Amino acid sequence: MGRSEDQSLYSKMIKRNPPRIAERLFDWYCGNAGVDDLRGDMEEVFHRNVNKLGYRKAKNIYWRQVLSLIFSYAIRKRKSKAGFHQLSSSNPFDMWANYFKVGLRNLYRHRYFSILNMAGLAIGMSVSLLIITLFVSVTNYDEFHENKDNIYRVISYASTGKEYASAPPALGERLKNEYPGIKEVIHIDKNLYISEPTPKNPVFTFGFYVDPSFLSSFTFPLAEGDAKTALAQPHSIILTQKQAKKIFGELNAMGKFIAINNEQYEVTGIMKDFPLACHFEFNAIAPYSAICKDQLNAPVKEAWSEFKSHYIYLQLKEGQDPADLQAYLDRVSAEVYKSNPDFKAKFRLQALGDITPGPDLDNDIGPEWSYMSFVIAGSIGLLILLPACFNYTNISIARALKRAKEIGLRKTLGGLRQQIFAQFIAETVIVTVCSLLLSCGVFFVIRGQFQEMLVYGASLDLSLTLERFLYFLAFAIITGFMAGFFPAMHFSRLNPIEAMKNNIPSKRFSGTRIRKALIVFQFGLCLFFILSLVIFSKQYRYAMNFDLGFADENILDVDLYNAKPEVVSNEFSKLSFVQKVSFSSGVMGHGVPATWASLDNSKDSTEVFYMFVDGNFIDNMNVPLLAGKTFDNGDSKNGETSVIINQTLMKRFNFAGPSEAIGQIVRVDSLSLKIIGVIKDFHFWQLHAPPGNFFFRSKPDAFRLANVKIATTDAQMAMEEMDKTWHKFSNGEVFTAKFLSDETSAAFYQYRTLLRLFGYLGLLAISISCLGLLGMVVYTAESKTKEVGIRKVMGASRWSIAYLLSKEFLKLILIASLFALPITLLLDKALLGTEHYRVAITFIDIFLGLVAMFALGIVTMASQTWRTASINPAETLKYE
Amino acid sequence: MDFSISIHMKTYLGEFEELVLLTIATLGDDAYGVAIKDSIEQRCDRTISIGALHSTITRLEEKKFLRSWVGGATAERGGRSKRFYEVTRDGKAALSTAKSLRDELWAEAKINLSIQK
Repeated sequence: MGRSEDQSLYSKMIKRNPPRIAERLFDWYCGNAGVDDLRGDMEEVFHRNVNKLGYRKAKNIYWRQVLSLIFSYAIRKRKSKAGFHQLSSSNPFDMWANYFKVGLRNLYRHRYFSILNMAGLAIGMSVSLLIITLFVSVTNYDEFHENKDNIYRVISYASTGKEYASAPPALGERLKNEYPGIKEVIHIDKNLYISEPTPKNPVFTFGFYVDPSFLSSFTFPLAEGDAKTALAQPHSIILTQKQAKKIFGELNAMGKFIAINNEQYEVTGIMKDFPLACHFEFNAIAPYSAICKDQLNAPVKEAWSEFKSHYIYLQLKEGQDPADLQAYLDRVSAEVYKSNPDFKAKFRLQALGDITPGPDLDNDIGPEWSYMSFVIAGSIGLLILLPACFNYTNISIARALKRAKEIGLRKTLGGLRQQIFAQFIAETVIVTVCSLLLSCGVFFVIRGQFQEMLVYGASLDLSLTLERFLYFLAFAIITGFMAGFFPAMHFSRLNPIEAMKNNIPSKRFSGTRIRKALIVFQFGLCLFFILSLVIFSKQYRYAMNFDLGFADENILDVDLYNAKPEVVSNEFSKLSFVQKVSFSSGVMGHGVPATWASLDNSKDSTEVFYMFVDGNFIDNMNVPLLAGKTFDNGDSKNGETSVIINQTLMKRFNFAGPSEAIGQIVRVDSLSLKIIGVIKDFHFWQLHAPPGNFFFRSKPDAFRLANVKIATTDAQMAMEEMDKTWHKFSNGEVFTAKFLSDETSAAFYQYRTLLRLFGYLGLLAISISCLGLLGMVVYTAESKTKEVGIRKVMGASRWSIAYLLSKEFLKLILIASLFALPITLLLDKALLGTEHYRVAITFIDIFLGLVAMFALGIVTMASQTWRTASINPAETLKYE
Repeated sequence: MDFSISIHMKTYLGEFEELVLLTIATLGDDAYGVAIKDSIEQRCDRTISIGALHSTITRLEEKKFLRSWVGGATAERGGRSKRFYEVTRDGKAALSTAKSLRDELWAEAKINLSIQK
C-alpha cells in the first residue's frame, strides 16, 4: 500500500512512452542494422523504471542507455553486418586507391585536356600563391621579440582626422613618471641620419635615437658590446653588423668614431643582423639622451603638437591590463589639450602584433602593411583564380558524356551518389595538386617582379619554406574542391540507365548557359585589361612628355640647411661646370603653400600659391617672363619688397595686360609688395590641376634649396666636386642633392607601377581565357566530327566549316565586348579623372582594344577549327 | 546442434566475458539482454552499462562462444522481440579451461587462500 502502488496503477493507466527524440536518434543512427532486440530491452527497462523510480529518472536512464549503445562496439558490428553503407567497409582506403588509379588513367588518356586544365589552374593559382606568401610573411612580423605580448605602441588620433603612428615625447615622460603599471617606456626618435661619402660609395646610415630600454625590451642581441652600458653615454652609437662592414670594411668597428652633426659618436656596440620581418627599419641606433635635451626645453604647446618623427613604445608589467592604461591616456589627453584651441589629439594603445598588418597610419616608423592592401591583394588573387576554376568546371561538365558509361556502370554495381561525388572531387584534387607543382614554377618566375612592384617589397622574405609549401598544398586542395564541386555534383546525379544509353538530359548543371556566361565573363575581363593598358600607356607617355612650363634638366637641388646663400652661391659658382646658381624655398613643381592676397585698393582677397625664390631663379628655370623684371638680390635684404605674378593671377586681378600689372601694389600677409614682373603660367601641380593663382616672392631667410645648373654629363664627378666644396664651408652638415628631373619623374612612379600591374594581370587573365576558349573549341570540334564529315562530303569548303565551328564563340566574344566596354570606359575615366590633364579616350583606342581581343579569340580557335575542317571525312565517318 | 568444426584456439577469456558466459549459463532458457544485466548487477552488486554488456556479448558471439536466436515479443517491449543467448560447446570448453587453470593455481598455492569468516 502506499505511493509506489498508486504510482504503478497510475502509470499503467497513462501509457508513458520512452522519450521520442532519443528513440529517433537511436533509429537514425542505427540505420538498417538489426537492433530490434536492443530497442525492446531499453523499453522494457524504461517501463520498469517508470514504476520504480518515476518518469523523469526513467527518461534519464533511457537517454544514457541510448548514448551508451550508440558508442558501443555492439552497434558498430551490427551496422557493418547490415552492409550497403559507406561506413560499412572495414578498409576505407580501398576505394580511394581505385579513385586514384582511375583518375590518373583518365588524365593520361585525355592528355590534351589535362594539360589545358593544368596549365590554366597553374596560372590561376600562381597569383594566389604569391599573395599567400605575402600574407604569411607579413603576419609573422615582429615574432622574434621575447616580450612581444607585453609591448604596446602609443598612437595618436588628431582632431584634424588624421591618425599617426607617432606620439608626443612629453607624453612619454608623463607615462614614465606617473603610471606604475609600465615596466619600460621606450622613446624613439627617427631623425638619425648620417651619410659617410667615400669616393665611390656613399654609405647611408640611418636609424633611431632610443632609450636604453630599447635593447632590453626588444630582442636585438648585440654581437659585440654590452647591452646594458652601450647606450649609457650620450655620444655613443650602435651599428648593425652589415652596416659596420659597409662603413669600416674588415676593421673592427668597436671604439671607432662617427660624426653626426659635427659631434663625434663612439661605436659602443655591434648589433646582430635582425630578421627582415620587423617593422623597424634601421642600421644604427644612438641614445635618446643625445637629443632629448632639446625636447624638454621646447615650449609646452609645441611639445604636445609637434611629433612628426617621435614614437613611444611601452613594455607593460606582467598582468597589467591595457584597458586601464587606455583610460589613463584618455584622461591625459583631455587634460593637456583642454587649453589648446588649435590642436587636439587622443591616444590609443596598439599591441605590437597589431602593427603589421594594421591600420593605415601616417608617419610610419618603417614598412607598413594595412588591412586594405590585403583585401585588395586577395581580390586580385581571386579575380585570377576564379576564371581558371570555372574553366575546369566548364570543360569537365561539357565532357560528361565521355564518362557517362563509366558512371553508369559504377552506379549499377552499387555505387552511391556520395561515392561518385567523392571520386570526382578526388580526381580534381589530383589535377590541382599537379598544377600546384607547375604553379610553383610560375611563382618563382614572377616573384622577383612582384617584390619590385610593392612599396616595401624589399623588406619581405618571400622564400619558399616547408611551412609555406604546406599552406600551398592546403590551398591547392581547397581549390580542387571549389573547381570540382559542380562537375562532381553533375556526375553524381546522372541516371545510370540514361547514361549508358549515352543520353544525358540537359539539366541545370549541364548548363550550356553557364558555360556561355563564363566565356563572356572571361573575355570581358580580357578586354578590360587590354583596353586599360592601351589607355594608361597613352596617359603615361602624355605625362612624361608634358611641358610643365619650366626646364628641369641639369638642375641639381641642394639642401641648404644652415648655410648662407651668398656663400653657397659664391663657392659653387667657382666650379667650372656650374652655369648658374639660384635659390628657392621648395622643389619646383612639387606642391606649394598658399596664402591670401589682395590688390591694394580692394577688399577682395584671393587665395594665391607662392614660392620664395631669388633673382636668378626665373632665368635658371627658363620660365618665360612676359613683362617686367626679375628680383634684384639686393632688394630683399631688409625684408620683402616685391612679387612676380603669373598670368592667371593677373587675370584674376583684372589687369588688361601684363604691362598694366607692373607697379601695382599687392597686400600679402600684412605686407605691401610691388608687382615687378609677370610670368607665363607653369604647372606647379604637375598634372593634377590647371595652374592657379601664383606668385614668386623673395626672402633669403626662406630659401631652403640651391638650384645649381650644371653643364656636364658626368654627374658623378659633379656631385663629388660639389660635395668637397660644400664641406669647405658647411658646419659638418650633409651634402644632399637631387636632380630636379629625377624628382619630377619619380612622381610618375605610380603610373609605372600601375602599368606593370595591369600588364602582368592582363597577361595572366588573357592566358586563362584563351585556354578556356581552346578547351571549349576542342570539345565542340570533337562532338561535331560526324556533322563536319557529312558536310564535307556534301561539298562544304574548309572556310565554311571553320566558320561553322567558331560562329558560336565569335558571338560570345561580341557579347563580352558589349558588356565590358561601358564598364571599362567608366572605370578608366574614373581613374584618369584624378588628373586634370589627361588624354581623351578616342575611338581609335577602343578599336585597337577590340581588334586585339578578337584577334586573340580567332587565333586561339584557328588552330583547332582549321585542323578539324581539314580532316578527311572518310576517317571521321568511321568514328563511332 | 553445433556442427561447426572449430579449430580449438586457446583464446583467453576476460573477466567480464567469463562473468557474462557463466551468467548466461545460470539463466538457462531465459537468457536475454535485460535478464543478463539484472542478474549480473544483483549478484555482483555493480552497475553495468548496457553498451558494455552488449559489446561483450557481440564479441563472445564473434568468438563463437555464444549462439543467439530471436523470439518472444511482449507488449512491455512495445511489441519487439527478444534475442536469447546460449553457451556453445566452444564456450563451454573455454570456460572449463579457465576453471581448471584457476583450480590448478588454487591447489598449488603455497599460502592458504581460503579466508576464515
